Amino acid sequence: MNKPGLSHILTFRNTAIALVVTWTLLFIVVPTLMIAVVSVLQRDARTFVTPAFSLESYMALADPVYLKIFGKSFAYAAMTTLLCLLVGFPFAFFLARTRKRWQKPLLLLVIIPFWTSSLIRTYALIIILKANGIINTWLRAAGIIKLPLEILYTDIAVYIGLVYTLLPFMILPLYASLEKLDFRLVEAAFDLGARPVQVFTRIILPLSLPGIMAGAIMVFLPAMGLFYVPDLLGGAKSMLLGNLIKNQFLVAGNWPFGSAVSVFLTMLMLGLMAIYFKTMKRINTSVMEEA
Amino acid sequence: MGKQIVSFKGVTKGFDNQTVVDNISLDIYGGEFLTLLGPSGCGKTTMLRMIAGLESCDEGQVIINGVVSNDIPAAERDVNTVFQSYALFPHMTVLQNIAFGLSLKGRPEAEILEKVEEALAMVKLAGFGERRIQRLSGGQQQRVAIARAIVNEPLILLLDEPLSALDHKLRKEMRLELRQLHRKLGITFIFVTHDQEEALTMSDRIVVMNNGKIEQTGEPKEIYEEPANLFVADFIGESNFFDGRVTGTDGHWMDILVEDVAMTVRNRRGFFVNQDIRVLLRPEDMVIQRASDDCDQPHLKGRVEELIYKGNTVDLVIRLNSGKRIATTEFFNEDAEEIFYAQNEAVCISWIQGWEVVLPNE
Amino acid sequence: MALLKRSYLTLVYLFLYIPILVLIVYSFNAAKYATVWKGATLKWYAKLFENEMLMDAMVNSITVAVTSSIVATAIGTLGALAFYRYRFTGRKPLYAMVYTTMMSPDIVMGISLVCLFVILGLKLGFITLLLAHVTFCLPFVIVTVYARISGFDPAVIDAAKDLGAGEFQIFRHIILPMTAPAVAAGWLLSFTLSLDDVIVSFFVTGPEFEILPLKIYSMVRLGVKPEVNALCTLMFIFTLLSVIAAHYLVKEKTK
Repeated sequence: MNKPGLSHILTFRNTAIALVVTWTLLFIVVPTLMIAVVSVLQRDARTFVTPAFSLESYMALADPVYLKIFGKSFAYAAMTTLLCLLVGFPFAFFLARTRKRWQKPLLLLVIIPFWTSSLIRTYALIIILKANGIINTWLRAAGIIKLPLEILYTDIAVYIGLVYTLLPFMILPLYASLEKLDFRLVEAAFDLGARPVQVFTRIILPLSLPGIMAGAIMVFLPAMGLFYVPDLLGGAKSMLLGNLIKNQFLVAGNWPFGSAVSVFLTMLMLGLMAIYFKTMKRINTSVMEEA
Repeated sequence: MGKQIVSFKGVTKGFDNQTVVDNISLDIYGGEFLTLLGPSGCGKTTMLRMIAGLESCDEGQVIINGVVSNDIPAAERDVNTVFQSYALFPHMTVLQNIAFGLSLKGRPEAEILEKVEEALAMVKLAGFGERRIQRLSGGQQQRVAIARAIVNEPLILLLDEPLSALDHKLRKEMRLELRQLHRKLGITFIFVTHDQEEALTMSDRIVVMNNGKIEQTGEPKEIYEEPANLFVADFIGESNFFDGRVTGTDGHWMDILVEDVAMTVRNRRGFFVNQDIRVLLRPEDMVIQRASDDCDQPHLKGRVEELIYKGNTVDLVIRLNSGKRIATTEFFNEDAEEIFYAQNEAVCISWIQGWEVVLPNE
Repeated sequence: MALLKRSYLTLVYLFLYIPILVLIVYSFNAAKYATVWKGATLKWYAKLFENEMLMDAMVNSITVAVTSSIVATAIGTLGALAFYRYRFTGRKPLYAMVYTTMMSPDIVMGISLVCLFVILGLKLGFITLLLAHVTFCLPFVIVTVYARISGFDPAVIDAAKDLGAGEFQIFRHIILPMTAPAVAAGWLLSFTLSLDDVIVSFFVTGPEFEILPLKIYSMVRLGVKPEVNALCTLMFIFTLLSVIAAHYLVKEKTK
């Protein structure tokens, strides 16, 4: 065997591998590890962190003030997820049951907001919701209300904003799994004497579980991180995990604490994804066994 | 027959801890049409891919044209392949597909065009150069795949189940054309298939493989008439098997007991007394007589269970008195007596002495 | 049932699109603050183009989007090829990492990247923004192109090898032309993602390098401005066109 020369090392193959590996390692793996490290260091007013081990940040997570934010952030995210599911499921179901020719353009109409800047979409909501905005103007013109409804800068506005921003993230995975659902199974269930509720709980729901879970993850996680939605729609009153991280980093300069919160968020994501893949696997194997 | 053009020397190859090719040694000679035949997963395609250089072996040597080629990449081998799926480049025209190999070698354009035209004519697709691949039928795509390979004038043409995607009629046509192409080009063809009929009709030599090992190598007639073992006998053609035991030997002959009937058969393998044997008979080698006639030779007894008329033959399914079922085939013959039988008619079954194949019952 | 289905679908589409439509209509409304329609005008667009701060931010945004989407597409295409064709140590965990990155909240990436940049001593600005944008676009390109490569017959690559093509020639003559629509779609999506990103950019850019979404963010916090309506309308239309184009590029031959 020849000794590998430079021309052997700099092959197209190695270049391709090296590029993507280097980039992923340097800008995805290393920063992720870094956050984990920073989260267990001590904070320093001037240089942000000092290289001394400390679990201070994680202890601080248990502080009632932060626990309250966590609780609230969770509640917001969970509620948003639930709302998206309630609105999105019938939508995805109907979409999947539309004639094939219509499905593609209709689906595209969901994909467009999926890719559109959520900042722009949030901004568009402000116009609608503000005191002299569209809704109030119309409602007053119709004589339904006298004084403008106060929607903007309330919790309701934040919910509307989050659902509005994240609904496509729920619909797309739901649609993907409902579209694959063999509707003859539903017909078979009816044929075997199932009532509509039973068909839903025993056939449709279990078979669309992967889609529901994927959608829930894709809504739940960003719902905690979208700091500008409560910022713009809820005023300063609503504080989400994302706002907390942002403030700790940029306003308070407390890197270890900000990192700890984001490690927590990452762990949460990995946990949810693990559950998701486990469910997928179980569904796949049970389908395999039946086959 | 030419000299060896490909030699496998103790070649072993595994995927994920599963041995696919198990210590195989095989010589392939220049100019022959050799078929690797076996059920799916027997290692035949892996053998082909090792010659092409698309797979490397774990142990042993693959020698091509006298050169140990284990580490020579596919691109540098004088070998071309016709893939099972054809693997035509969908974004290129017929011409661009066929010219691909030559243009990579940097041949002048005029020469490339000339050779492509020649290759197209060879596969009867003259004038198809500008067509898009998607606009060709399966049979035409097949021809383009062949042209794309032979235009490079390889030493060896590898064909990986190239006919399996074609319909029955087209497949029969292509068999003949491939044979003619082989004769015209004079190069070595190595053909992989699981279809025994294809192997028997096309090849100079057949290598029967199973579980990564070679079961038998030989000319089609040899493989069919003298199967080396039960696997080959069972895989190639239809066979009736009878279990039996040797009761006495006498030089080239021996006495055996089959289905409680004493028979005398040829002893070609030095069988010994009391050895368990299995007698193998092709359906067309069976001799059927009406039981009402005098059955003179030693014979088995049975009744006709099913009669299948096939035009040029009449096939019978016969249940022996022992309960065993066998299949027989009789050809129509101008002056043959009536070969139709009634359902449940009693018959005597025997065969022409010496046409049987006797194998040890392992 | 059919009526219920149709009206429900319509209702949700209205929910998704009315705010955007209102935004677009307002960008042509002559009235500055009022909700009432006071006639069509293009003056907000004119004002937008006179606003130097916004125009600077737009130039910056486009510069970052063009550069980062090209870099991400180049690395991502080669990366998809590497992940698909080559066996190397860490291939599977790295691909899982790439996939996870696509799912993970933007804010986590923003924070981890700003940590890296500060520790490396990079000044927050154009370079850091570029690196960050390439990083979050990369997974989308890899996944799009990977899906396309794995969609075609692997024997085609064997055939190219068999006919004498080396790795680069396989890439150049076979994989690149066959994945071209996916590569183009990946590029378009990267460009859109980069142009629209708020959260990651929020962390990794410095005060000297302002980009459009952040500029919009700071303006919007102070209330509704008609020029912003015009700007958002333009950005929305741009996204709309790229997404439709990308969508048809990906769908084109997969049928």
